[in-house]
Parts: sequence; structure tokens; C-alpha cells
Amino acid sequence: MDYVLEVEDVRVEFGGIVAVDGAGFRLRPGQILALIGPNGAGKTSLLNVVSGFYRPKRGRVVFMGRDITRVPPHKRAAMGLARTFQHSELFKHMTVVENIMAGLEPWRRYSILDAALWTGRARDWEEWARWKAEQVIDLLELHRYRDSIVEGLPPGIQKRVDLARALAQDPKVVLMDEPMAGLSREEKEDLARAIVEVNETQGVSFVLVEHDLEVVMDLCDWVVAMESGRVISEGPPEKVARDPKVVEAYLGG
Amino acid sequence: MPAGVFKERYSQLMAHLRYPIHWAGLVAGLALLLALPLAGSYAMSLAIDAAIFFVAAVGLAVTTGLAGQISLAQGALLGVGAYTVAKTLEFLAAHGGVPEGSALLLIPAAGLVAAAVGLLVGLPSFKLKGYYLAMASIAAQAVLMYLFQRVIDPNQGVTVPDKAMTLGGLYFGGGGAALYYLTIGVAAVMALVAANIGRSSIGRAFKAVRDNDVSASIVGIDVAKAKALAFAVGAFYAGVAGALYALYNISFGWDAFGLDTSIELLAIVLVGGASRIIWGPLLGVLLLHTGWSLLDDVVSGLPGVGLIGGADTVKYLVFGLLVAGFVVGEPDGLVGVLRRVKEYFRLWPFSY
Ligand SMILES: Nc1ncnc2c1ncn2[C@@H]1O[C@H](COP(=O)(O)OP(=O)(O)O)[C@@H](O)[C@H]1O
Ligand SMILES: [Mg+2]
Repeated sequence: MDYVLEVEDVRVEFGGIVAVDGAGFRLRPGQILALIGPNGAGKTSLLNVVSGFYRPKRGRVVFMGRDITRVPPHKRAAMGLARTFQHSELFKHMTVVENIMAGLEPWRRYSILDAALWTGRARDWEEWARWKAEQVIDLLELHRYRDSIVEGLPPGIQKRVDLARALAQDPKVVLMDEPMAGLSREEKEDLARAIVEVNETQGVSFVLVEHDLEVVMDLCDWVVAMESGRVISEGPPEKVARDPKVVEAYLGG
Repeated sequence: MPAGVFKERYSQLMAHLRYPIHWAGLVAGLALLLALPLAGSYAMSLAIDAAIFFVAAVGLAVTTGLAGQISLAQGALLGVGAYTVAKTLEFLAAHGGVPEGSALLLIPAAGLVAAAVGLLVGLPSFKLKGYYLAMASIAAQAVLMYLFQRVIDPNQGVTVPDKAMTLGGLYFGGGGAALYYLTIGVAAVMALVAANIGRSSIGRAFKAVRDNDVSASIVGIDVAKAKALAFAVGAFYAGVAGALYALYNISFGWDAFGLDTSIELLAIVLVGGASRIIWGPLLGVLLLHTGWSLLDDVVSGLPGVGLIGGADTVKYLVFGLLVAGFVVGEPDGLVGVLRRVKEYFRLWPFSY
């Protein structure tokens, strides 16, 4: 398989507004791809098509060789396609560990009767899920916050919880919408290190929507630049950064 | 977690009873419940009535507190359970006779029938939220009430045959000790089951849907299925409670399953503390249901109460204010208040 994820010729409309106008990209296994572009370029809308939250007017999404354009969002996570959000979309009245474990529900292997009677089946699975959660808690150094209610945690920690929830699902591809936005320099470095580690040790591919060009240059193998719903340039980071169209879109936008 | 108490295994972390004080409380509570019949039949009646409301309230706490789906149809679902028992027995009586103890077997059946009806009641939740969902459930409540009044029990009054409530020489009807122990036992098991569901992955899915249904679906939770399940579980509890209601009252009509009962149950859950599916309903029932029934005579006797429509008017006025107050001021309900009091004393005397 050449590509884990192929997004082709996607069009998204809201009423009269065309948010995405024939955009797409292709992601190779193990790649970290950056989606850049000025505000309103259509990056979030494109990610929402990939995660299934928006049904595109046109175009298709192929994941691991399978057309998933019409697969409902909740089934995509179980296939290995995880997602983090631009603004915190955590379960805010639940603890950090509960947030992470909630993402394992697609892999639950016991019935509501097992749950009601707390049978061995339920206990064993819960033990596995807790172990799974502890692994990402270790990876993202969330020990101190494990049993804290998410609401009220600092933004940097919430971003890490969001990533932890995605990584606990053992995804093939993680879509991250502006993971670095609002983080301090130190928090950015921590998060970047975690992404690189998962990428290198587990071969997880990433699509990052990112504004911070320094982060993009350091982290990414491939950059796709968007403007007004279209892809205006793509290629290795150094090349895209020098592309006059990209420079103009950023300065002019 | 107190310092020095380290939990080795995750399963220990997940246990309901983690500290000696929990066990002590459990033993004391059990002893009290076992000995209560010694206090006489009035006390037993109060306790049976409270346990029935507790079961219905725990179910609603799963639907509304855990999964965030507001329902004002729990009263009618109680009726579904009660009529399942009475009407099945009526059918059996007309077709060859009522087997001994059959009313007891019908308790879980009443739960299942109510769960199926609850699924239908929950259908609008796929599209509606908050106030709109509350309105839809009021409509479901009205439809069910209409069916009780016009189709199922047009003469307002059904009776559970004595034979159906007799098993092995014990009589499980009315306010006797046999029904008392049965009801308390059923309530305890149902509470444990709710707690188990609450700490399971299914319970986390409920809470995830309550907190943020968009990201719930993105992390892989089937939101529609979770909502349907939350309604079905809540309705199952109402059905079981309704069956016990039928045994306790022996003869009954539909007047107990109206919107006022649904409102009372929602008040119990919200005032007790919606997110605490055992302690919230327990406190709510003891205060709003049992507490109020003890106060009923006092309130009726107050000057002027007769003019404004009697004790019931005062009751719903007070309940309404309590619900509004708790929703605005203390979403965690009385459980939240108690937790803060406990926190205050834990830190005492450095509590400023
Ligand atoms: N839910 C929506 N309803 C209407 N318009 C939207 C919606 N989401 C995005 N848009 C519009 O679509 C365009 C692209 O937005 P978005 O995908 O959020 O861009 P980006 O993430 O690149 O900043 C913008 O013009 C935005 O106003
Ligand atoms: Mg965006």
C-alpha cells in the first residue's frame, strides 16, 4: 500500500459558502503531513470530512485502501483513524483516565449483562482498558492529572489528554487540528517530542493542521498548503515554504 | 486517595468499597434495614414505598444523570410495569388460572416490557436535546397516560390476585414483611447493578454522550445506540419499580402514573445530585418523597393552604423552587452539598 490515507477532490459547502473546493492530499505510511494555510482556508472542514463529521458534496476519502466516504464517524475510530480537536472537545465532567478509556469503547468485548453483574469478562476487559490507558498516561506524562476532572485543567494539559485519548486507540493515522495553538514554547516542545516518539516507535502517521511554521519545518515530511478551499502548493517543507504562492497567501492573508 | 493507601491493581481502584469505613457503613446499613420491621407496619410501608421510588429514581439517574437525556416520562413507565403485572395476571385468570407466585416472576418481565417502551420514548433523543427532548418526553408521557385511561384500564382500577402474590406460604402483597424484604433486596441489587453499569465502559459512553456527543462519535462511540440504551435501562428500572408498586398496592389505577409523578422523580434525581446515581436518588427520595409524605398532614393543616389548592400545590411549588435552585446553584445536588460539608470538616480547623 502506497498511501494510508487518500483524500481526493473534496468539496464542502455551507449554504452558499464553498469551504473546500476540490482539495485533497495523500499520506504515506509513517509520514507526518502538515496542512497549512490562512484562517478560513478550509483546513478544519477538510479534516471534518476525513473524520466523517461532514459529508462532502463531492470527492472521496480512502483509508487503508477502503473507500470510507460514507462510513459513519463512530466507525472510523475503530478502523484506526483517530482525531484531536482545535478547541477542547474533551468530556469535561469526566476524569483524565475516564476520558482516555472512553475512547476504548469501540473495542469493548462484553455485554451490558456482563457490566450489570460485573462478571469476569467485564473485569478482565476493564483491567486491560485501564492498562492501555496507563500506557499513554506514561507516554504523555499525565500521572499527576490521572484522576482530575478535565474541566479546569490548563489548556496544555487538555491538549495532551486529547492526544492521549487518540493514541490509546492504537491508530494508524491521527488527525490533529492545531495541536500547538495556545501552548507555551515548552508545552509545544513536549507535545512535538511525543508526536515524534509515537511516529518513530509505532509508525503512526499524522496529519497536523499547524500555523507555527517552525513546528512544521521541524516535524513534518510533507506539507500541503491551502487557500480558499484549494490546495495551492505541496511538497517537502523547504520547497513549500519558498513557494511564492504560499508566501503571498500568508502575507496577503 | 488517602496517603499511604496504595492500590496495587487497577481492579482494586475500580472496586466500590475501597476503605474499611465503606464496609462499616454497609454493615450498619444492612443491620438497620434487616431490623426495620421491628419498628412496626407503618415504618415498613414507608420503607417499601421509598424503595420503590428509589428504584425508579436510580433508573432515571442513569438516563438523565449519567447519559444526560432528560425524561419526564418515568411516571408513565412506572405504570407500564405495574399494568404489565396486573394485565398479564388478568389474562391468565381468564385463560386457565393464575399460578401461585406468578406475580413475582412478572417483576423482571415488567422491567423488560417497560425497557421496550422506553426505547420508543427515547427515539426523539436522536434528533432533540435539552428542553426539546423534555417536551418530547412529556408528549410520550401523555400518550402512555391516554392508553392507560382509554385502552388498558378504562374503569380506573385493577387488582392483583392474592394467589399470584403467594409463594411457599409467604404473602408478598400489601405492606407485609415478605414484600418489605423482597423490595429492599430488589432495590439493593438494582442499585449495585446501576453502579456496575456506571463504572463500566458502557457507563463511560453514557457520560461521554452527556458531556459532548460530537467528540463521543469521533472517538468511536455509537451515540444513537448509547442514548437508546440509556433510555432502555432507565425504563427497565421504572418497570421493575412499577411491578413492585402493583404488589404493594394490590389494587390501583392510573392516577399514580401521571406527569406529577414524572416531575417528582426528576426533582428527586436533580435535587439528590444527578451525576451520583445511587446516593443522589437515595437522598432525593428520603427528603422529597418520604420526608414530604411525613410532612403532608402538617402542611395541609397550615392556614391558607386550602385556599391555594391544598398540600399538593405547596408541594409542587417547593419542588419547583428546589429543582431550579439546585440546577442553578449546585448541579451536584445534595450529594455535592454533603461533599463540601465533608471537605470542610476534613480541613477543619484550617477551613478558611
Ligand atoms: N459549520 C460551518 N457553517 C458555515 N460555514 C462554515 C462552517 N465551518 C466553516 N465554515 C466556513 O468555511 C470556511 C473554511 O473554514 P475552516 O474549515 O474552519 O477553515 P480553517 O480551519 O482553515 O481556518 C470559512 O469561510 C468558514 O467561515
Ligand atoms: Mg480551523
